[in-house]
Amino acid sequence: MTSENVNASELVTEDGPQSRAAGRVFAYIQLIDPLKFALPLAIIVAWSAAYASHWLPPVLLPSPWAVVRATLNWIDPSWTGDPKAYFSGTWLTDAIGSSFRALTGFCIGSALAVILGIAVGWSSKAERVFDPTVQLLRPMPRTALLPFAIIFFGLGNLPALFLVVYGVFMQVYLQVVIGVKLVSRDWRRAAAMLGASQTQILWRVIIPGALPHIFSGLRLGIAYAWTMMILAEMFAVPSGFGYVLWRGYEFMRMDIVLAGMFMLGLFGYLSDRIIVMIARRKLVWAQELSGTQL
Amino acid sequence: MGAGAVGHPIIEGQQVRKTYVGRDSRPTVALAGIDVAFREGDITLLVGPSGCGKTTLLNIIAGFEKADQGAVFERGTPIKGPHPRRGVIFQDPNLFPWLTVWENLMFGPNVRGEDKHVAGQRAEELLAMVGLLKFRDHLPHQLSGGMRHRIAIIRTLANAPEILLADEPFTALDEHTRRKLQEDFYELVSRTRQTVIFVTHNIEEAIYLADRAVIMSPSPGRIKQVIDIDLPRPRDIVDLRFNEYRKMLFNLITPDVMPE
Repeated sequence: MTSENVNASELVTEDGPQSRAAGRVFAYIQLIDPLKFALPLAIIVAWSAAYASHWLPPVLLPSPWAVVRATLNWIDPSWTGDPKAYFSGTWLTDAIGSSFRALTGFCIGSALAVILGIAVGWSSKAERVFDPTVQLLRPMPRTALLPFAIIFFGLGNLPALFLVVYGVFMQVYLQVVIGVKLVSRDWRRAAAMLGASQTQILWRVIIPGALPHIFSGLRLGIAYAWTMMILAEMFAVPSGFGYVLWRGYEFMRMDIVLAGMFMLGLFGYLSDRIIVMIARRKLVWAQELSGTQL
Repeated sequence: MGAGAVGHPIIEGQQVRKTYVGRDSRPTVALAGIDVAFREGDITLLVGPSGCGKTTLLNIIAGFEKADQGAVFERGTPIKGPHPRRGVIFQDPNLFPWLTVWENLMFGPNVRGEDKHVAGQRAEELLAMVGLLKFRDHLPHQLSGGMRHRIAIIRTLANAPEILLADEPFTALDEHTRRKLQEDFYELVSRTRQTVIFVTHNIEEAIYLADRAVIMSPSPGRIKQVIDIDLPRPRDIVDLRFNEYRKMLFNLITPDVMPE
């Protein structure tokens, strides 16, 4: 410890703390892959060019800058001084409400899917009891449940949660069942000959062995959580990203419609990254086995 | 181990019959009602061409599969399922890839609730014997194929089985690694006079390891001959008498090799 500290302070006195910080920023910039940014940049340039050429009226195609302004107005109207609209200053409430509905529904739906999926993949009795029903419901588009949810639960968080839980469950369940069923017979045999009981095999072999599939199910599930949440908010919840989006359509405010879309993309991306981060740490073995990173 | 009299049958199969229904729905007789006995403290090799039922017999002894007719007994008790008394080494190392080498070695002792200190000492000793102590915290895929096989062997031994069953564990390895592992394997099992039942199609491997070789032949799977390999250890694969056994086994097995 001490020798490292001495070395560090020596380094600071040699080049000065500022040049070290600059060096770190430079190293970080070097990490940025220009190829990853080429296409988004091209799209923004093409969009700006289309706007400047008056190819479409601004009502249909606002400028990128107008979308940024609408976003700022949405977060805090005092930043831009633009006229107040229905969405001015509601961003934080919308973000919290939407995230709550999407993430709570995701947690409940995926927990149910993991529990039931493991049971169905593991026990043929559970499979006979549950699987036919799930397989019968699965082909039905999940969005078709919207009218049912509104009639049954009324307006508010409840129909939204119901839709998210249902949508996530259907997405995750299948992956969990597949994951459990594909756990190698030889791993199960190895555990059995080493003396593991059926319960120990389930916890120590089946579940860890099925984790790669379970995580891919969770990634599909989180995307579906936001989809179902938006659908519910458009029709059944008087706030949130979906509400702002749908009112944007009603008022013909393409700027806030696009701002809402980007915001949803951002939130969906961030929640997906969290799952990927956890998966990367939990599935070191599976990644190295396949020689790829999640 | 060692308590029972050496030479007494520890595993005995009576009229063991097993039939598989193939994809063309024609039944294949893997074992045609065979009688077989394995002596305690012996290294017995099951040798024969593919389709002779040697792996099926091993799986029934392990408790992974059930005989259609007849039964296999361990010290007079019928075998009903897998048991840690009968440790298995598979064709693939079959380590749990999410566990480190050490966690793999301790899997058996942990699920059986064995004293951690006693089991840990045994595992460490085995790791040292195969020269892999410094890899104890590695994950299996970070090891070479030969290392993984070594860990798989000592994972089963670390569970202190009374009988060791091995299903062609060295088949997928290159020749030099295989020879080295055969030496290591013999060293590991001979110091405790471990009872071993070992399946192979490799004649040289059979003569190198076996106290006794059970020659099997296919369609239907049955036992053709039992040969005691009476050679001093360590065995020399280019020795004249080794070659005589090689010739004897070759002449027994080759006529049975079926066209694919």
